[in-house]
Amino acid sequence: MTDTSTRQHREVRDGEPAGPDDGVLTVRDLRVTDTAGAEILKGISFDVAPGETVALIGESGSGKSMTAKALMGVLPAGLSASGDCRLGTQPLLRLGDRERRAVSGAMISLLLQDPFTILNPLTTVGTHLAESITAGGSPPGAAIADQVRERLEQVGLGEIEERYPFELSGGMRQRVALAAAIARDPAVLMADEPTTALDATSQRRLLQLLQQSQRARGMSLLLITHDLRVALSMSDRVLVMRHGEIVESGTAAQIGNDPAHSYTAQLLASEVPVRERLVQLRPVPRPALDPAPISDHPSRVSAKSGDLLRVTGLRKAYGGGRRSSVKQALQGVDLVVGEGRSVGIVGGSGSGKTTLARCVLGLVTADAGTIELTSDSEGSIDISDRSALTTTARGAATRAIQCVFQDPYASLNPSHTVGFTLAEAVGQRLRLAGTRGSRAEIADEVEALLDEVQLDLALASRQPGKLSGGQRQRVAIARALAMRPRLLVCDEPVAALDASVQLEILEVFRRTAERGISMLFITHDLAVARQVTQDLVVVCEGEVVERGSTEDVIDAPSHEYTRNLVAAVPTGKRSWLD
Amino acid sequence: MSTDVIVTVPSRRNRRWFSPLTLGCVLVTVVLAACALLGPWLNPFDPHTQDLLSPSRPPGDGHLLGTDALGRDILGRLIEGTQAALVGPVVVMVGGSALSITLGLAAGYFGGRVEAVIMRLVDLLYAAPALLVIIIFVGMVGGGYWGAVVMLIVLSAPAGTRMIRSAVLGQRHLPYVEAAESLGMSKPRIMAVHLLPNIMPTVVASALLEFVAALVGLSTLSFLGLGAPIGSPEWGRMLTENREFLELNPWGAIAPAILIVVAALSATVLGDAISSRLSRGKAE
Amino acid sequence: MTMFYWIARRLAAIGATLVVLSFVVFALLYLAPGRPEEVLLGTRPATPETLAAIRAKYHLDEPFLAQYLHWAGDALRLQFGESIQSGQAVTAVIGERLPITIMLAAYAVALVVVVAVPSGLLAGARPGSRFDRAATMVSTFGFGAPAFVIGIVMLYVFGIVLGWFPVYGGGSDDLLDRLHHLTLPALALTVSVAAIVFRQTRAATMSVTHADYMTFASTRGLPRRLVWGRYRLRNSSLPVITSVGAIVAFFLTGAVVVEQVFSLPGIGSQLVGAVNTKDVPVIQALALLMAAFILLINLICDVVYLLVDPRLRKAMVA
Repeated sequence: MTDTSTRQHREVRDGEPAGPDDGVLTVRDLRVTDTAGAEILKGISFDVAPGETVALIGESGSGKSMTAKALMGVLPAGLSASGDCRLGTQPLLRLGDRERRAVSGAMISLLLQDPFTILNPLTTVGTHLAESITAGGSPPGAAIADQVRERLEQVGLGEIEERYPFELSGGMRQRVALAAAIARDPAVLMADEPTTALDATSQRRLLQLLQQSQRARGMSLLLITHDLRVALSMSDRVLVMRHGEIVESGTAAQIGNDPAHSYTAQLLASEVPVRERLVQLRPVPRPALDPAPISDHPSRVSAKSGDLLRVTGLRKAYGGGRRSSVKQALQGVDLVVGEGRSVGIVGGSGSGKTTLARCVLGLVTADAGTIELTSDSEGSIDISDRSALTTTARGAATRAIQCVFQDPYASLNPSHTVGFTLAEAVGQRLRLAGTRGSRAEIADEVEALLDEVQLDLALASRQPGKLSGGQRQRVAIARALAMRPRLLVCDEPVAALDASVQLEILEVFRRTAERGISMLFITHDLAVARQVTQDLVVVCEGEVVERGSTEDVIDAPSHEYTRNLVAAVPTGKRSWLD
Repeated sequence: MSTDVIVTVPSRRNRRWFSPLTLGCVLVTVVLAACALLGPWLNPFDPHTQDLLSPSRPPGDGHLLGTDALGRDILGRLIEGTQAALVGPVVVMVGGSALSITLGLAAGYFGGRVEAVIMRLVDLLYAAPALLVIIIFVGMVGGGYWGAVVMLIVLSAPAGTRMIRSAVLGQRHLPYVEAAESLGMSKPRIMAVHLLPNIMPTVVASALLEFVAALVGLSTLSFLGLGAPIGSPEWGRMLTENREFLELNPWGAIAPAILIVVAALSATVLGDAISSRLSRGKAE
Repeated sequence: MTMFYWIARRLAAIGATLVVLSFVVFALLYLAPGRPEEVLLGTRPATPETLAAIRAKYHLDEPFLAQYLHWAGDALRLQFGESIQSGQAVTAVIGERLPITIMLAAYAVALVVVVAVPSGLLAGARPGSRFDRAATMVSTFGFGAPAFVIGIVMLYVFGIVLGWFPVYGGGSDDLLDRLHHLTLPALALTVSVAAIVFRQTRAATMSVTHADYMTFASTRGLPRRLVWGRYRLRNSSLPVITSVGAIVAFFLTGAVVVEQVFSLPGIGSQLVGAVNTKDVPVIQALALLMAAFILLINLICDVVYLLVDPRLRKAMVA
């Protein structure tokens, strides 16, 4: 670490008033390289002052998680870090095993992303906290059991010392992890996407707790997140990362209102608002491909009338075998999807919304209730139990209802090319319709499908592994469209995508809806629902608690659960967590 | 459970496809295959001529590895016996894989009662000491070498079934499988076209493990006097017959021992290489 | 209470399995070539009188099921009849041979636990390290080498060429002499079993090494003792426990082979000898003994698993 590189970096940081001594955590020229010599972090520098909250934001692959792992000395095998990183006087990258243990947890701590894997599955909550508290030797004061109780109360948890992680919800586990991470009151806490795996309500609760703990202790917080709105409402300063570099840093207000770097501006523009339906979804318009502006008046697209799908009294329970207790996923759900309408289903995790989608798709069979599908030729048929249908009726139901899943990385078969996947779907439709297509006909249709989701024809010969997340999701949509469905069931189709890609995919869904295809859109994200749905159904613990037009439900929620959901959507304003 | 998989994850050094070790194993495999296919017809060393005047001689005098108790050329008999030594393991590998793929796919994909029945059976057989069962049955009831092969297929399939089932369970609920179901594809098609290609690394790994287990098992049976018929140049049998003469010509027993180990080693290394190659192909 | 109930149920299941197995084992008498009384007569001269005596003694004139019940009732009292070869009681013949096998097994288990488990843990904790690669190579070798090959090579090198160890038999009853005789066999058995134990331990440890909770444990500065014990060992023991059953089966096979190679007078070589001489009563007793042993080990593993994993305990209570 030389003076020159520090100075160079000072210039990059552009007028930011910071010296090497004014931060409790100072990072200078941090580089992370793999064995092949490729740089994952390309020399980043920043400070975190005592009591300050700094947000490190960036899309997937920007290297933001590596920053925290490097500072804690827990980089994956094969990666090495260099640079001058200090916590007070401790050189973080040069600590031996013994010194590292004295620093970790006591002075700096790390909260990880996934609450389902962060805790030792074989030990109790109480053990987790007790071992964290006593890691540096028994602390003075009250008995350990009392301290454990107190720490749990601080994160809003009751007497759960005897419980095991598997008995708790994701939100509760993450709160236990938070309490364990700060059990020895470290000067700095780094939180790596701590709420990404949680639903909106649990996210807000955890962030509130993070903020409270931080204020109570005067602790510094480095919040690593992909969510700009969360970053803006939580932090004093924001660092924007891209491809292993910090491209911009500034106060939350600066970044939010007047971004200097084009990438930051682009990130800001990709945020999906919950309060309005955007006329134009794509942040950077592509004039050659864009047809006339998309209508802001949803009513215009629903030219057809009548109900396509009518769900009545749907019930589904899981478990109940000798080994597990019964869990009621759906407790009598009614739902109507009109011809050409887009209906959103929103709710927190465990609300039963995914079970509903799977019932409609025929992937699981409901315990009670009916799912009526209106078909042109046969009138209305109950498709709730697909195995009870005649082959023709089952084929008709399959063709009418298609799906797009959440995880674009797993929704395409990695062994087959895009062309094979689409051709297979086209062939399947023809087979179900009782005809067969020639090779050329199928190839033509595959071409048309790729065109419809705006993918290059050359992609047909590629395997999904060589595609980006957005491209994969387009292929998944094309596969569903290959069946020429009348209803598209989408289960969190943009939840796993970076913000900029989200908008592109939402645009594809809008086009689909424009063609008169009905949609059942499952999402936890009200902002996303706002952009693509006309009607909204709110489910909570397997029951519908509110329904109405999307605008009405979001702007004037009547049920308490819905109000909480709306309040839990990050606004990017500091008042959000109050 | 998933940890029945005792496939070695390739260490960093032999991640390359053509590591020297892998290349060596490919070479060994080619040579052994050539011996197995052509040995009985194109053997450069005469395995049959007896020379009772020079029994169990150490190497030399035109016999590269010396002679056995009847004065026959050891090297020639080793080449002659390659076919006998490998045909059983290959049959077990093919038969056992077919059985474990079928059972593993069915258990993993259908779940429910089908899975319960298959896995109950598999777990019962899994804990059975296969060779001891074969020793008792073949020894008492009969059936000879091929009886042992058939029993090995049945008794080695449970390990493969467990591996393949847990691989299928890893894929079973991925959206691409559910997408195929939503497209109304038939169950056999989903299993064959969608699931099978994605569990190939496990299939290859389990097949090669079955080969190694069968090679080891069948030669052990020969050693115990239950495998290949007496006088056959099968390696395990040769080892047993020549071990009494270790002090006269150690090669008579050591050479077949080395061949068994080298063949098993090559199969293990090749299995690891192919299966990690396949899974990396998927990950890319 | 639930736990006792659960163990009782497992015991019942084991009992049922044993009944089924005993049925098959009893049927061996009929599956073997020749009439049962001829099988039981062995090489003794067959006269109408001796055959009739045997028919009477083994109740061979009664229906099959009744014969089985007679036999099973005796088996429950550990009476398996007389060895065809020696004419002595089967229980006595086996009891004579059992100690040496137990000693061999204990010797080898000790070696395996000392060698394979720590090296598996170390290799799995640092996958790709020099130690890991070397140990994995050695285990690949051990995995592909049949126990009898290892035995014969060891016998040749250490027994014949170097002359360090005796090459034949189990030695006298003197403990040191016995150990001296058992060292080579135990080593041969260890090499073949250690390879599998090493691979299982390594795979289990490796699956834990990259777990988030390991990272979280070290970022909280937990003492090394806890990170290794409460976190790494406990979690990686689960998959190893489930495979103990298969390892025991493998171990038994290895013991039989090794006893044969080194001409040790244990129950392994006794089994091979009994098979070769078609000594049905001895085979029946040995088969049941081994089955009961394997089932018992599996039961112990189940109980240990239950004690370690709270998720299973909860599922059991429900």
